[in-house]
Amino acid sequence: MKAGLGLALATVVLCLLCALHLAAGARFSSPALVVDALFNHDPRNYQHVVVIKQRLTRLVVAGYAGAVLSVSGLLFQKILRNDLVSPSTLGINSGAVAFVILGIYIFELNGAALFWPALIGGVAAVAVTFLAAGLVSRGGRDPLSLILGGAMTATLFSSATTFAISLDPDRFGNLMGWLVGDIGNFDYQPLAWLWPVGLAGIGLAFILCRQIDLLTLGTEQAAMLGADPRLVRAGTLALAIPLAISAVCVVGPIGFVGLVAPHITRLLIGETGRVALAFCALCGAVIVITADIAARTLLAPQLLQVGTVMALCGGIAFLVIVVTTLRRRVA
Amino acid sequence: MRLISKFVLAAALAFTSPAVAREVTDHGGNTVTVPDAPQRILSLHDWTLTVMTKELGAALIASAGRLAPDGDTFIRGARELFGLNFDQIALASIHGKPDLERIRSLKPDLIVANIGDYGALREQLSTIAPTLMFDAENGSKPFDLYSEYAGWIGRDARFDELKAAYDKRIADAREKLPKTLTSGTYAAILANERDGTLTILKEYGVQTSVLDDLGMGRTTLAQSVPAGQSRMTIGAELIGDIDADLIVTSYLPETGETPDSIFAALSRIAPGYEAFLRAYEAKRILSFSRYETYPPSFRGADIFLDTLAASFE
Amino acid sequence: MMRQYLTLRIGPAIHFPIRLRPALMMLALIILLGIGTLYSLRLGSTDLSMSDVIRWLMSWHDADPETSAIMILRWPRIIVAILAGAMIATSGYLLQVVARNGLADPGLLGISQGGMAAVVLGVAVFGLSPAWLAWAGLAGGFATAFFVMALAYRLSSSTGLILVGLAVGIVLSAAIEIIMVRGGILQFARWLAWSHGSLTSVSVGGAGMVAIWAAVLLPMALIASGQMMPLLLGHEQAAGIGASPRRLSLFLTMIAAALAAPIVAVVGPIAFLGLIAGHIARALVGERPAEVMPVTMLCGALILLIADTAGRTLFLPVIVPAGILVSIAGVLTFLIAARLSPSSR
Repeated sequence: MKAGLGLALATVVLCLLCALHLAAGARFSSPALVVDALFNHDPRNYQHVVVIKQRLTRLVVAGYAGAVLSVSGLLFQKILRNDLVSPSTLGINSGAVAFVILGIYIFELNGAALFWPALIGGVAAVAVTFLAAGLVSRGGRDPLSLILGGAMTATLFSSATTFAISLDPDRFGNLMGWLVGDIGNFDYQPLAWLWPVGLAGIGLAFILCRQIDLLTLGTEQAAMLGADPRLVRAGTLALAIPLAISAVCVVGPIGFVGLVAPHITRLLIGETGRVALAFCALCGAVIVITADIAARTLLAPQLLQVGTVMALCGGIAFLVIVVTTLRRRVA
Repeated sequence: MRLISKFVLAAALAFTSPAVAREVTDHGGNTVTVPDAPQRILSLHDWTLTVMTKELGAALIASAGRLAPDGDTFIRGARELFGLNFDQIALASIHGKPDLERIRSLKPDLIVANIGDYGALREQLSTIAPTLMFDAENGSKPFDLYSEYAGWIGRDARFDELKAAYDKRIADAREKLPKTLTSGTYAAILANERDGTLTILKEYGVQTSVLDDLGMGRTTLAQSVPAGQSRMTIGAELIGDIDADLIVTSYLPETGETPDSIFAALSRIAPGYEAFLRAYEAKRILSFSRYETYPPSFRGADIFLDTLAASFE
Repeated sequence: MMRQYLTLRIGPAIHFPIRLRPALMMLALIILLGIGTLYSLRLGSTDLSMSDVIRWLMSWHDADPETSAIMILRWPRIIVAILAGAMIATSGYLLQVVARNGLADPGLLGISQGGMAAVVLGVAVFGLSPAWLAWAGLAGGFATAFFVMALAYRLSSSTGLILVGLAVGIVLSAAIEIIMVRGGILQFARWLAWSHGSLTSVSVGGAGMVAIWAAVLLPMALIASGQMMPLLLGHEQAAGIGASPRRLSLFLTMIAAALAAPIVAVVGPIAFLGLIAGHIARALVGERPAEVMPVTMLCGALILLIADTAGRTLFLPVIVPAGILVSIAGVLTFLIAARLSPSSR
């Protein structure tokens, strides 16, 4: 597919989904009502309130989370030259959750202040993952090692989370949605503090795009073409981790969008270039918005968690990716 | 093989029944031989079993407790309702982290536990003392469960006494309270301020029990909670559907919440709710300490009725 | 210089050469395990003296009833800690050999999640009674193992098995999560706690069941370890010297699944025990499967025994589940130690 065409198509799909997201919910709102709510807002009409305060806000949060998680995933996949890594498979999500829970339980932190423990947790998780993977790969480049290291890290940190929660589950009642990854009606409030992180991260990713692309050619080629591989790799890590953390702080550990979106991008328009980066961000937004629509409507009036819906669909997608990549390798 | 012999001996010991008088079938479907009037009851769930045992005046020697972040231990529910603490009875275990040896060292003659947390421990607990498994969320009415439990520990007489006083109180209240509170509809909810959702409760301790007994009906939404579940989470979009004559909810004092927290929570979750919830205008949105209303207890029911009466004088 | 080999002679015709270092290691580990067992029998909320323990072990027919009553709470979990530790470690090592990747672990094959999904479905959908849950877990574990193997079989890549297992595990845990989250935070917390493994609820019956599985499977694994050397070479080379690696791999994976499934049913998954034990064993005695296997078993048993004993004695009145202690303390110590010692590379 032509890159420009793909980008245009993704934008159209995204717009359609946004419209559907605003109209769909426990009860379907007519398009006329949605338009009214947007452009002729009546704060006393509860249906208008629903569209603006409970759907539009979720839509923004879902779009943000999807975009930054998938850009973060694409960056990881490119610099590690490993198409199985993503913020969730590297253990970043679990590391952030563990530190946030400890922050809440011990230091009674809340709101945007939780970004810092989450960031520390995310960095610690990446470090543990690399350490564990390095131990067994013995300098080799087995893509599996990083994934197994990530799984190990995830278990390590989720053990800490589990212990803190099991002491007094009632205290964490309101947090359950966040723990499994969910978009709440008020997630736009921490987002109001954290969006600069996402914006700066994606912006820098666009600027550094060429250097990162060089790296995918291999360390030697990159060095020959004038990029310092170590510097670029470190810089990209310093971009990708905060990007993912800024989403985890807002919506909790929503996994797999960071794994699946880059794969779709690669499949449709290839992974190099700025257009691919933009496409990947759009694609991630589309995925999370779709999951949010599904979570709100599948069992209506009951709500499902976006995180669990994503994990189920994303897990199946991961299985398919694994089987097809390995088949291709065998053939 | 010494250990194999140990095994045989231990198995034989476990099946030797002590001098007892009654057989009880618990919520796990096990038939257990229990003492006629247990003298050393150990409870493994604070805000259901400990509260009921205490209120029935049975011989409670120990209870499971919670660990506060500062390292203190406390008995949720029974602390608030009866001022019970670990100076009066022994700590059986920290909630969710059972210590079988500590339980044994307290020499109970009856162990009561909730099936959700301790179901898997039944066999080991039974080597210590007869063990009854209680299920607070099997869909039965809280006071029916309470009555059943009183029978298990041989305190039916005390239960009937308390129940009679309660029935009388309900009859009185039905005469004194406004008509809407004896024939209207109610919704029992929990508001999750963090992610903007509401939980509709089907059975929730004394809250639903007292209102049912007063003669109030439920909203259609509460009736649509799937069978076998005691609650359901909905989005705030549907807040119009909880438009009942009375809305009751509860707060956790530990987290700094007060009875008024619900109003802040509602205006956050559903801005403008004042305009479309009848109960708001009539001042019929009431919030209770969760520690007093979740446990099935007549003390809690009294507090609930007092608050109700005070709000509608 | 130390002699490398001892020769065990039975009659004039039969003699086995035994390498000295592994034999000494095994002996040392067995002694450590014995001391560890004695200590964990002695320690607990109610402290006993070592002489009580010895008297209890020696005089089963007229044991002090007080001591016996405490012991019935201790010995099943100690037996299970030792056996489960050995079984999970063996399972992990088998998978490491089959997958030719040192990070392989039964938790990564989806076996644990399969077992748990079967139990959750059994309770939530079919309303099974608790007596049947262990069997449901067992069946779920096996079904998942077969499903994963069938999916990975055609891929013929050893890495594939683990990746497919990981993916299947993720799908299954997501499914469990959807069910558990609907029961509110209490049920969710119970699921979390259960998914990290604890020996608290081990009973005499559970110990018996684990013992039977161990008695059948551990000797099989030991015997199989004699045939595993060619697998370390890779499939092509193994086929080149006349071994049939595929069939052997399949057989070993089945044993690995069978070793892990009953443990998941009785105590829940103990993550990364297999990985840690396998690594320590290789660091101690090198690469020969016939030597690594028994050392791995002993290491696994020792680690789980220490973790469980520490968890139920060090932090009283809080009991820390062995699964959590292994994942946090075990993994951290392991990573740091492995980083510091050049010999593990």
